[in-house]
Amino acid sequence: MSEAFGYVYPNHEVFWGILIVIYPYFVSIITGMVTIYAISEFWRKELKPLEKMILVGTFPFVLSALLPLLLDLGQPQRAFEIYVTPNFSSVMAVFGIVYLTELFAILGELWFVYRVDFIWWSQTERNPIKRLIYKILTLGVYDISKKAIEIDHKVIKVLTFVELIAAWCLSYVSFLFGVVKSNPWWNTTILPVSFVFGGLAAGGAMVLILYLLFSSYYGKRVDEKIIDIISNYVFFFLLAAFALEMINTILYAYKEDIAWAVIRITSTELAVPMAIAVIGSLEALLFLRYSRMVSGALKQIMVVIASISVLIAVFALRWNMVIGAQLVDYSLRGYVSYTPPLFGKEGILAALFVIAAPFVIMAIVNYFLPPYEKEVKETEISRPTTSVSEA
Amino acid sequence: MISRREFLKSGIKLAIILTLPVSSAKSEKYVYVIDASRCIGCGSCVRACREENNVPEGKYRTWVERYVVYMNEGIEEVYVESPEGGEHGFEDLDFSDKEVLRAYFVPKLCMHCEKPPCVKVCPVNATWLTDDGFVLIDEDHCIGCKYCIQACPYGARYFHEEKHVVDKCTWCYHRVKRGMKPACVHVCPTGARIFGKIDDKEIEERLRDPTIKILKPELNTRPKVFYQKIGWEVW
Repeated sequence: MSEAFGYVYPNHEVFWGILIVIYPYFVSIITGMVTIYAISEFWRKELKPLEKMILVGTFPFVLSALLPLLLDLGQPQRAFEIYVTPNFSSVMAVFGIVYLTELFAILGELWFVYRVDFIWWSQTERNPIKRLIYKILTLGVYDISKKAIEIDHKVIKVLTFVELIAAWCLSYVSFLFGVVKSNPWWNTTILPVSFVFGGLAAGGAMVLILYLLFSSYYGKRVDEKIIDIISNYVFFFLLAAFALEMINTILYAYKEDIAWAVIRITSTELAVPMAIAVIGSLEALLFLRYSRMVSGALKQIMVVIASISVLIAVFALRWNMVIGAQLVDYSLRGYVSYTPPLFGKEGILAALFVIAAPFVIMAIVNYFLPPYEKEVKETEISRPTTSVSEA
Repeated sequence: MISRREFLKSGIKLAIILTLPVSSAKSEKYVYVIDASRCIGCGSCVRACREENNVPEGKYRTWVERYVVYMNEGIEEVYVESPEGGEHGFEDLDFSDKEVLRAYFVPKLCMHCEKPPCVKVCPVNATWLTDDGFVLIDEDHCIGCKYCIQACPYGARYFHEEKHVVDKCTWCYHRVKRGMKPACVHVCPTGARIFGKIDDKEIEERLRDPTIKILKPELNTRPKVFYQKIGWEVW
């Protein structure tokens, strides 16, 4: 649903709709979550209790990342051609390879992190179907000797590194837009960098929200130190993303080339998402900073508000990056307006379905691979530990 | 043991082979030249293209733009339009209160670039540049990701809603390979559209015109559609 203003090429329309906004948005969240996971694995041992939860949270996003792309394709049944006849000069084809790397790395990581649990659950689970599933998931490996667990930890470190690199490469999916020299809004060197920082902030915010949700679900005490550490990361990631976005816009405005003239006349279309991004970012920065000074429920409320604001602000940035850029016609003499339809493949309802997908998958993954034990349930049998020192 | 006579004979033969021209065949590269001063904006080309290639309504493999450059408070202003791609011609414009500097029509189509950004971004190699300079699409291979549409700076590609793949001008490859001209060239009543091999006499002469232009040269796409007699305002 678009209307043209000024002169636009007769074939011009918004070809990539809301689904392609969600696609880099999911990728952003994955980058941030995997980065926090890597930080907990390599640098901040205080975040160790989050590891399983982050994996359970990230995996559904990785699975869902392809969904909006597939739905957007004109011929989704040919999607596999990306792997059969890839064009390596295409960022999209390279994305396919990086995506598979990320998927297999996280699958491997899940297996190694949960390996001891699988063995334990395959013997103690009362539900026969679940017990069978856990038995299959052990892949016949029942070795929980100290040596085996030490090797597990080494493999986990390697996989985390691969996963981190793949996630960052995935995040450079922004190159998909950045390499399009025809589009003035995309044709900027800052875009990939600001995209990564926005992603780091969004992923960090998602970790914060999931941590509070999972803690509440499993009846676990919320560790305020963990919240402070992640909030601090999110604060600086968001600050960098915000600064880069602003620098980019100011540079455009100052250079005042022909493209800016069109971007300026489309400003009425870009204004709302831009305002959401700016207000959301500033508000989140403020709440993240001041949440450190309070504690208890107030801290949690502030962090939740800030995290939701970050997620909304980054979504608005992605909206302007994908939709906003397409409003400008390549004739640089006009633009089109865009309102997403309610129904249909590119509609708001389809988008909501896609956004809900990772959370539905997360509930299923959480059912089979609970990251924590419910505090109320105390088992009499002591379960094996994954800690090398205690094993 | 080779004799001196045989050695000299072989040497002379080799020298003759090496000095022979590698190929005396003419260049197979095709180019397209548009003489804007001849275009009358009748839209025959757009209609012929639609009929020849079953182009869906509302989409264009070729279209015609009208440019009117006039003075406004001492500065050149440009008015551009292309109602329905110029398919049904253009209505009269009233610029009587303005000082019009120049006005003309400019046909547009796929530039069949020598460095096509659309080909570069296609994830599955469904679009490619042929040896004779055509940029084509394999509609049985295209996944419909629309990335090439985003990459084309000339707005030449569109999404075919019935076939669910991307489509664009092929310079009527099917006709050219049968020795015919593209449909738009064939029907042009004024000869504004000229198509042929790069070393065809008429093409060669036109390419020698120092005022000849390509569109958006700063993007380094090396278009093979050349324009004569257009102003700075066309890009």
